[in-house]
Amino acid sequence: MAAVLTAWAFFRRDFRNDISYRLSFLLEILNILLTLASFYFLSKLLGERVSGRYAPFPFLLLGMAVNGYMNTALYCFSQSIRGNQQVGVLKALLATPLSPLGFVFYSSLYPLFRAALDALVYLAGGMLLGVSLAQMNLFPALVLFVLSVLAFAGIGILSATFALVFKKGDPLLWVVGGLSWLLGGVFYPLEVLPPLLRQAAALLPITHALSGMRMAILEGASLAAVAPQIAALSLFAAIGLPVSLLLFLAGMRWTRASGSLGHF
Amino acid sequence: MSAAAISVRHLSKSFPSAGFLQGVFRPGSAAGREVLSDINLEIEAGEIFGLLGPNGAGKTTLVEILATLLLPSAGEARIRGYDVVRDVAGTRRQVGYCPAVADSFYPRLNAVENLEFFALLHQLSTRQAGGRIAYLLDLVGLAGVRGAAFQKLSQGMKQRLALARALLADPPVLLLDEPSKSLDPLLQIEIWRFLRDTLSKKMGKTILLVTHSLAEAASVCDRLAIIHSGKIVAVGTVAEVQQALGGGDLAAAFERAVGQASGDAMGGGC
Repeated sequence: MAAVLTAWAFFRRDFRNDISYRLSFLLEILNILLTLASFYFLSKLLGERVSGRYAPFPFLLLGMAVNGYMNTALYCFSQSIRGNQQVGVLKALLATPLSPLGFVFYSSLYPLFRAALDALVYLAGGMLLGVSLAQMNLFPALVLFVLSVLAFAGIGILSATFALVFKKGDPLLWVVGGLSWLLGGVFYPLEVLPPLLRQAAALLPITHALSGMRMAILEGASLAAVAPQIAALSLFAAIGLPVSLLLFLAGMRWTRASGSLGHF
Repeated sequence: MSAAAISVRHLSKSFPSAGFLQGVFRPGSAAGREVLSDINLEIEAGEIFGLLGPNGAGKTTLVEILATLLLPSAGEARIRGYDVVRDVAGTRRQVGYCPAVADSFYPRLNAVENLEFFALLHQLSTRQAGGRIAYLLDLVGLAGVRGAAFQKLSQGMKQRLALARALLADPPVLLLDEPSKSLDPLLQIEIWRFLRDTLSKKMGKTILLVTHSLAEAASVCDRLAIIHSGKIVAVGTVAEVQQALGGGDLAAAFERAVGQASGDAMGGGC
């Protein structure tokens, strides 16, 4: 019950803050639809098939949707630290009975919910532009979604630790975000990359999230068929989350020792 | 368990000079600038205790240690028996904290929405929170601006909202860091009366009040400590402090205490 109340407190705070910028809320949705339309026309230049399996527009559609929620999962943790520091709330917030780990977890709920909604807007927009999702296998897609969010969250929490300690979380995210953009298969299939870069791509969670999602949503792949992607994402989450949480706690302890909790 | 509401023993605080990695992996190497030195205090339940001192004396550092936001370097502090380092959650349930900076709310949420958020973090149900917030806004005179965005409130209103937040969970101990800092004289007097008559006498709260104001300390506090360069230089009732520091009014006593401590520090450095 206590956890539900706290989750509700954070969710409602972020929702209220979000809708207080009404125009921005609507413009973000419009931006998704305009981006989709641009890629729809661009995809007409790309021929019949990408990587021998997918039509270009559905391929790009999934790339953008997954890249969108990956970015949210990467950025929302450090944003919660920096945002609360900048409005001067962090100290007041951490003087309540809320634990630092609780703060990190609950702060991510609304941004991840919004990211899931944005992903749905992408898919709905794609359907309006003729993409068929009739073959989608929902259960494996949901499992992949949850695991990929957990895998991305490990990096996101690490970035929050950077924000806490070094007052800057972005350098880590620029590297991960840039590499994911370049090697993850967001806009083009991995087959176009040189072999060495293709191997490097396997070290990024988005590579596995994207290939699994495309299989589950566009081809209707079963849970067994996406087992390699599920295993890879589970491994990223199993290693990344505990390591990043331990580092976050060490970072929090350090800021309490150094008196830099409210600095940014 | 100590009988005192707030008990501080041999508390010292140094801010580390080393970086994060060195501090985490070689904690002993991180000692640096000392801002509190061997502080000892016992504050009784229901007492208003003032911490008076010049800028940089270590007042806020002490309050932030008691609020569990900072870790001490040595010594111990307990709030109603809860150790502020070993039992952080227990301590936080005993304490209402009002930071020195009044701009410590979400600017686009209104007064009620801001308080609702913090009330739920204190595990008040939505229903309990509604009643408590209405009561507190009335108590601090903000019922008329309950729906106004925080960023549109005056500095005095923000300060009073921070006071209302500290009272949300009805904690027995209040840590108030300059709660009347930006208020006009009339509002200051109103806040002093509120602290003394309502919070202390009527509700029985223990209050640790950080202040720069000699008038506030003299008017509100049952006892006070003068703190300078991280050390307590005098402690007691206003009359006791004045007497201990050679008589005269509080201003003269304060000036002597701070001047003397500065002189000692300078002498020690030569």
